[in-house]
Amino acid sequence: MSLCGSTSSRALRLGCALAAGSSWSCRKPPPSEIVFTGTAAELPRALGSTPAGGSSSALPVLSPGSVGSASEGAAGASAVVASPSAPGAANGGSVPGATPAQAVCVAPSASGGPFSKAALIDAAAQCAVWHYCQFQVTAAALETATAADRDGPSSETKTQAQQAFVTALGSWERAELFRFGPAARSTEPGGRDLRDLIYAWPARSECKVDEQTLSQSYLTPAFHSLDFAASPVTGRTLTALEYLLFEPGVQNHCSAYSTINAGGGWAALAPEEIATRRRAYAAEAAVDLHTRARELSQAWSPEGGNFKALLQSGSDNPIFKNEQQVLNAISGALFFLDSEFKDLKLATPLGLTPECTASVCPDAVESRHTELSVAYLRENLVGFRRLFQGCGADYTGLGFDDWLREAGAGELAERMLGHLDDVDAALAGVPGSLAQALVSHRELPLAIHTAPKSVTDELKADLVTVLNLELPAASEGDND
Amino acid sequence: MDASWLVALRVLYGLILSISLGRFIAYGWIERFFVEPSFHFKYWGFSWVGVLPAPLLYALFWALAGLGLLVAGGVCFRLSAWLLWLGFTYIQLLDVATYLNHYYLASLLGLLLALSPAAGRRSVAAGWLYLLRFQVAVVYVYAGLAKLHADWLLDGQPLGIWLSSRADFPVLGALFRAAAAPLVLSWAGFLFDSTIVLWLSWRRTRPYAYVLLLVFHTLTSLLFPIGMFPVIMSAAALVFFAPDWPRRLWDRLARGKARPEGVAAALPEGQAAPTRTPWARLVAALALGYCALQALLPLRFALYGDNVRWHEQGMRFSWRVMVREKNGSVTFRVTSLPSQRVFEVSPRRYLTPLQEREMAGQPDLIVQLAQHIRQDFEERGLGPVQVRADAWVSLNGRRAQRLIDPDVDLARVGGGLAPARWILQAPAGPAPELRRGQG
Repeated sequence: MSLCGSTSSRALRLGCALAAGSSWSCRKPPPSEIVFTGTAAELPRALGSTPAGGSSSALPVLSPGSVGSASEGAAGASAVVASPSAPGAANGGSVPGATPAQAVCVAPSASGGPFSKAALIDAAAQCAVWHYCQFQVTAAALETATAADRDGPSSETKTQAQQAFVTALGSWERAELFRFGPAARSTEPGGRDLRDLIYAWPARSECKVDEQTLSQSYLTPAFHSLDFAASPVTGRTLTALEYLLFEPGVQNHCSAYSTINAGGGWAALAPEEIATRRRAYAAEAAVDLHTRARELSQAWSPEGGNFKALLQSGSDNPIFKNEQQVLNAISGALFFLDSEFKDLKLATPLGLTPECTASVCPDAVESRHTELSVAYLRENLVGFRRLFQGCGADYTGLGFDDWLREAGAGELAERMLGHLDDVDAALAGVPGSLAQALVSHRELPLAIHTAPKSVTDELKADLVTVLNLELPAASEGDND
Repeated sequence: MDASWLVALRVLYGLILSISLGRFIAYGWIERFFVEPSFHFKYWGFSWVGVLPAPLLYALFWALAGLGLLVAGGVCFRLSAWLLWLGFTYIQLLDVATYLNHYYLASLLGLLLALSPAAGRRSVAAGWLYLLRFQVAVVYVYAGLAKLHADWLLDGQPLGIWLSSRADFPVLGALFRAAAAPLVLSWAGFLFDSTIVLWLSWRRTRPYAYVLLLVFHTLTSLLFPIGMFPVIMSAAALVFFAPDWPRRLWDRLARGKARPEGVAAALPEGQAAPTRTPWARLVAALALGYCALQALLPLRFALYGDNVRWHEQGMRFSWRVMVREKNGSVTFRVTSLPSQRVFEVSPRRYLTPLQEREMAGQPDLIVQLAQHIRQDFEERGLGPVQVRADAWVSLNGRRAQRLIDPDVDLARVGGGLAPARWILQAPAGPAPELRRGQG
């Protein structure tokens, strides 16, 4: 049976449409029964949902070669990044043709030498730098594509901008797992909060984007400020870009009592003007994103912050006094699987937290405009495996699993790898978008939520014990 | 008896407390431990103790650091010492997650000093010396007895786990990689803790024992993040010297100087001043009661059976220092009875990372949070609810296993001192041998 003929997935339908060489079709409005009624509930739209100029209803372009099993997840997983020597090729299918990232960023070499903590630190650092580099390239492509869409808008430029966004976010979803050092929170060793300036999720406010669309504050220098108070993260980063590039209507997401609605400012804008401003806003947000991506890469390079050198611990190192402290910081990134993958991205949409007041909350899924949430979860898992297992092809190279084996806990390593396979299988089991699966087959996304718990339980209880790891935020203070 | 030992202890104690409190201020721990958490774990019987507003809390720490200096200087000693003890003890009662044996010891020493005539008298009843010696001895002896188990003495755990991450330690790091290192050092630690009081009490071995004590505590302070504990113990152990040691040390340092005029002659070591008044008898009785309490409290674990390092009943206030490496993962499953909806609640929702780590291995804290979750959900209109815990804990390197019966509604269990039947059996079998070094 042809998936293209039977699917109800918006992303897949459009992927199929693209495969058939068709142009964009109008987007079907989301099912009315999908209502997020939790604390992040969608606010009533002040205006109708008429598409602006009929051109903003396009959905992400997923190259047919990357669709793989024709699932949304597989598409997103492989459409984004590829490197011949990178695990992406071996895990989810490779993208035909080289991406810019491939040409610029050098994949880390998989060390075949004996295990040492220093080698593990180096491997993790190389892998992080590689991911940041890949993301920087995709951010540059997004900047170019959004500028083209702003300067000469057409359905084709819109499509290219959307495609560039999907590629960039997919790349970032892998890089997310390398949240140590400058990408981490400033409360963590070497942290500079750079992650939140690239991808603010779960913080998102479509109303904030609408307000700034009206005020055109994106055209001011303050928009690019590092000061969150001057330019809130909810009005920029990949979260804002997704809304700006994929929102088909001209309505806003602020309440009727908000300034932009009560004052009549939004209503005074013509639909064409809203579309024009959103394109201009997206272009500025992409410039900002590319700047942050560059900053993150530079923070690791000798020309910049040289964080990679700071991972060489020592008594004169201002951040890390010994190897174990470095490994504590790196291992802290593995907990993404627990706190964000399992709890933030799945528990609330599944109705497992009190924030979701209905039985399920599809509006709480991560990437609700692209409907590629499952694909992005898969990208997260690829990032996790690269950190945990190794950054080479087929996840070869040094990882924490090698450390466990070296410590005599090989059985634990194998168990954890087995559980990761279960997560992969659960992800593959969701055929369409996460939002649709929540409504039609809740047990499928529930399986994605349940599977990683085995991994995260072992992370928190067994792995940290065997390797004597301390999470930086949990190890403050004295002991006895 | 010459009181100079007590004066020296007072000075050292005041300075150490002042530095300890200063570390809280300097390292931002006031914010992190007491201001940031939205929920605090309470000690049994002290749930009424609340956290002051942040500005007052900061002021309290500054004031207590100042009081430490006043105590050290003997300025308004009685008032300063009592206020310092009250304030420091209040801080200890704010959150069980911040419990440390050496804070508890500091609180006890503070109480004894506040009661004692440490303001600078020339002489003091010998009972004070014995009381302080007893207090310090209790710490070492019970710390030694706490290591009298197979994990420590046969498997070299948890020391093996801890040393595995210190292979880069200067000079000694290479030794830590040796397969026998954990066991050898475990035995060394056990023998040190359980016998050091003996060697300190014997005049002939005392100086050597004290040097050994300094080496031991210096090494542990370099190897492990145990803060002021080595300093407190090194200072407190001075009570085992002859009571006039500070005076003799002063004389030696200032050789040639005459002893200050009006100094009472030191009584021979161990000779008690006569105490026959009713008041003295009452004080002696109270001191004996205190000693009995200190001797018995660490033994209460025996009433609970099984492995105290697993169920933790009888763990606190027992000087079980550095005897377990415990990490866990806890998820609460909350069932809203009206709707039969099941929520999965991460402790992260209510706790800081430090609190979460401490709670994960301590069943009574898990129950406290379960009951807080019940309250929270009921306030949200989702009640009545049942709260169960999916709690997995690894003890001394063993594979994690369930700590708590997953079928028990923790929202309804009592939080008292009775044996907790909802805690599952401790893991059987030896702690695993993990390879040393790892590069």
